[in-house]
Amino acid sequence: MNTAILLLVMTSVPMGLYNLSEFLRKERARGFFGMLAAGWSIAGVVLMSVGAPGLVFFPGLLVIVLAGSALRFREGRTTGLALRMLVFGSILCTVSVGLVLL
Amino acid sequence: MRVRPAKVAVVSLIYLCVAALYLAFFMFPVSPAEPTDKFSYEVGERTYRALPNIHEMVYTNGKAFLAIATVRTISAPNSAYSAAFDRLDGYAENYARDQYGVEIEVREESRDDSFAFSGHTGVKFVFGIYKDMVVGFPPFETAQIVKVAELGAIAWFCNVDFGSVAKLGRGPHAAAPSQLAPFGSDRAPFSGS
Repeated sequence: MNTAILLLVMTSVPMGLYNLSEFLRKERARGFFGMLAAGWSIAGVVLMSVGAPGLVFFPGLLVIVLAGSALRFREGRTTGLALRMLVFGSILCTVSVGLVLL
Repeated sequence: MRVRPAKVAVVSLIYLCVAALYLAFFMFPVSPAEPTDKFSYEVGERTYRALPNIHEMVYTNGKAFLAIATVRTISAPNSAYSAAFDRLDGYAENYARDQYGVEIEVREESRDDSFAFSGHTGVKFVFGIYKDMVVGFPPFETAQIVKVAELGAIAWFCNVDFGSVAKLGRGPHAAAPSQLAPFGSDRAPFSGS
């Protein structure tokens, strides 16, 4: 693995560590989905560098964020989470349509 | 909702850290891609831009020029790269201006965004090279803008290891693909470090 790819992998590490601390502080859903998103990003960079198609990774990341938000929304309905789901849902639709068109 | 300053500070620090890592990634020097044939020779090399890191090398085989810009990027579909070609800020126009001198005017005369070439979908440009010329003898001379040359450019992108290789083939009178074929490799060697 070369230095540039290592730098790109490391961009997901701080958020992964933060979410690990959230998970350990009883914020289970937030921490778990945060770690999952960080792990997915790291796996995406590593797998793409060995030839995996990159198109699935960004939509996959959005799905993880959406799923995490939906789970937390079920636990406690807040406007912030609803807004977040709306924004990420819209981006996911736009990206999916864009990928099909491109 | 209660805002905890310590948490805001930690999250801000994390975002700063992530931004710094992305900055370092985009500024990290690319390994310049090279043509695979050994019959072309290098006529120019420079760092075109530091952020994102773009390294440019120009080769010729006597029939046409080949400029290879190696760009530090994150993966995207080929068609997106063709669309992003404009981000090179009039690269082809600047090159033509350098080649033909400062007094000329370069006009983009046609552009085909889905030009099929060597297994890639590239962008094909045709530029007209215009020059102010004085016609006639004093006192009856008139100044006219005359088209003195036509330049063809075909650009396409390869996406390798979080770097992109933008190839810009150029030749007089819209170089035919056969003129550029000696350079043609579907993927230029690129180590991406």
